[in-house]
Amino acid sequence: MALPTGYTTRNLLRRRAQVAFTALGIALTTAVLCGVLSLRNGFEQLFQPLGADEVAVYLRPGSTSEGQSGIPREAARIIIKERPEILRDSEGRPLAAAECFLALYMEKLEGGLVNAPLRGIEPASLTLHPDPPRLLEGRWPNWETDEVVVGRPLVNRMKDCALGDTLKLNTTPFKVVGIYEFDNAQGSEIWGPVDRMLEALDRPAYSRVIARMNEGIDYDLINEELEEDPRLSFEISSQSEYLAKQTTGLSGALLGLSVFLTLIMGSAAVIGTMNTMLATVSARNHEIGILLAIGYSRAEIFLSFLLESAQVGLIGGLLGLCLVAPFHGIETGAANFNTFTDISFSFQLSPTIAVTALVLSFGLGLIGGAIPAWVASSRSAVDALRR
Amino acid sequence: MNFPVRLAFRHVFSNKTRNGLTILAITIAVFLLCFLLAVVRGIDAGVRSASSTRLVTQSAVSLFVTLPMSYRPKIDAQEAVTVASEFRWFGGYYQDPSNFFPQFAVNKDRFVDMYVKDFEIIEGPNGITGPGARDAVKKAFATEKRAAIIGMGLRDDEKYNFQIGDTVPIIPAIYQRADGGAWDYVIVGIFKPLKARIPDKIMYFRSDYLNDSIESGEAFGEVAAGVYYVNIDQGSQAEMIATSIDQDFLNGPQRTQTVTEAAFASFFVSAIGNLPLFLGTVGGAVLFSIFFSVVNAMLIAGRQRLKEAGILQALGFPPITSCLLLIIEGLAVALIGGALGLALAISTQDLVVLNFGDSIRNYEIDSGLILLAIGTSSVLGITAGLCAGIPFLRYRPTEALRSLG
Repeated sequence: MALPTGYTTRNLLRRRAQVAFTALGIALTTAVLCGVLSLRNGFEQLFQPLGADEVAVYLRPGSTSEGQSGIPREAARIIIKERPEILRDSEGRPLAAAECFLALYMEKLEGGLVNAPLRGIEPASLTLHPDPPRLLEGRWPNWETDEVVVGRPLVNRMKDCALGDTLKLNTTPFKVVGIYEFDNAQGSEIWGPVDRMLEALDRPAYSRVIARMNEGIDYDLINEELEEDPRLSFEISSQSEYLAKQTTGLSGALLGLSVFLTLIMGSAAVIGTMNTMLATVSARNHEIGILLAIGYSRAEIFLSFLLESAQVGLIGGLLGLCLVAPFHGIETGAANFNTFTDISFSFQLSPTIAVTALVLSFGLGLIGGAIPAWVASSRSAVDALRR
Repeated sequence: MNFPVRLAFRHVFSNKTRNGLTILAITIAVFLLCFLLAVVRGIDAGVRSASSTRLVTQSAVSLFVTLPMSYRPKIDAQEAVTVASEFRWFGGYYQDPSNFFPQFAVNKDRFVDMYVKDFEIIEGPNGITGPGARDAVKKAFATEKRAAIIGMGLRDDEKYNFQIGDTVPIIPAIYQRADGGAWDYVIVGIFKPLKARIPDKIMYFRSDYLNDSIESGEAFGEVAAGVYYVNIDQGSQAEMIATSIDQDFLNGPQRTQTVTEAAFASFFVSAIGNLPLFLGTVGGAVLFSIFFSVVNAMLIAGRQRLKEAGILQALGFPPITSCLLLIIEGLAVALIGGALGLALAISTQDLVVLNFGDSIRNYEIDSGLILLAIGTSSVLGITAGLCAGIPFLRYRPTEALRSLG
């Protein structure tokens, strides 16, 4: 004889206040987990752009990020002109660009300084990506003048980043002439002509060469060739490999935080559930006696209470998702620990995260309900009826 | 009629499972609250320990742009400047990238004097300790080109175990050597930080070792100073000196921005993102969820006490008695939970420092936190008791007695 599921649901409706309080505890746990995981997801997505395998980055050997790397100008020209692995466009020009990178002191609109990424680019920087940057407003910079374009998220976060504003680099003013959008980690940067920038900043060297690769190249082989060339001191890696190294710090910290918080808030939620279910069981003693008397087995009673608790958990989970859903897409910024520069990213709730959260809330309900359900199912029919 | 004190006491222990579970939940919440707040306060402590008589002259453009060596005489020439030293981030690691600690290139003749209030030299060349150690280290630092002074954490941590006289290879991430190898340093001094701002795993070495190697082609990079740390006279106008230094370099080659050491330190905190807000939100969510579970537990208790409330009223106690009984029960449960949570936080303090001390700096459960934890749990308990107790003021004895309890 199986217990009708409608029975457990109707039980929940009878004790609305208690169920609501218990579900809220689980909801907050789920919401915090979802929030932190969504942040991490939004951050990581930026480092997995489309076609990252077709693009490669040349850095100075031993440097793990472009901020640490330095490449003499002549060497960068040799790479771009001579290396056979670099793809050429229909007119035979290499799809490769020398770029410089610097974390710039910028003031946030809300006050306070951050390290904002500044990138000197070349015309090929705009065309070499399989999923290239798009211009939203204004125009791209002239390559011979002191002009910059800024990434869309910066416009609402930093001072001097609106169209028509003037940004002062050291002693040289640069005019903001455009706003671009780029769906990856380079989407919240300031871009200008590389040679103009190096001059303004009084810096001698590029930071990296980035290039679109021919199909089917072997990075190990190229690295061997690069090592043998006495004019060059370079290490090549695919962009996806390079980007993967840039996320470890912040991503790991967020994952660690979410596990820690889930454990702690989860145990508190389990305790709350247990309290509620124990009260339910003791209030329904009489009912349990009747169920036993009319022939329901202990396993069925156990399952029915367990199911009731899991339902509370699931309600909490759904509520938690509702709490966190409004945050989806909201943009924020933080320092990427690996480069110590500010990066704008948004909460990105994903189906995986939502399912994880629901499974967690269901699980919290199950764990919280196990002991009370066991207490209920081990009552003797006579004792239970006598009360 | 006297207040039934013994009854109040009995209530706390009447339902051991329920109150035990609630206590456990509060224990966890208070522990987490203490932990999160201690992290935030630890960060603050670093900023607060900054010296009021020190300025940092840095590039106005970027943290990563270095100032030229030629700036020092001009900074020295400023009135009220006592001693200035270059400070340059080296960013290397020992054996494996995971063995990371900060290294700075500093001036060989000025650094030890500049940091007189910031650290205490505890061990010098040939095992010298005590008051003479500082002079011995100062001398050794000025003589040995590869000399390095380290914090005691690098001596005491088994991973490093650096001792006086050891030659320590540091693998560069920025300043690569032409031979592709590591930079060698000779440990000449070990110090104990006197300021929360200075970690105990840190190394200072001579800027001329770095710059001369770059100049001779043994290493790659540019000859530069990094930023300048500038000690100024006690009681002098920090703002005015800062403006005056910046005026000197207004037309380049690198514009400077001189700030107090505190402002420099707080920039590093704010650059990470709005950590206090983030942790505060999380802490708030935890408190809320625990609050719900405590209120819930008290509501359950209240429902089971209905009949008892009727009896008390029939005996002549005013309705407020039942309400007070619930408040006392809530308060007692919350305080026991709070005390246990505090005990947990205090007893795990050393464990946290030992395991995460490199990233969670200055972690300490201090008296302020203890008071806050007790205050929070009291408010939690009283509010929960009130939520459950207030309906009792409305019940009439007959109504209450009729309930099934």
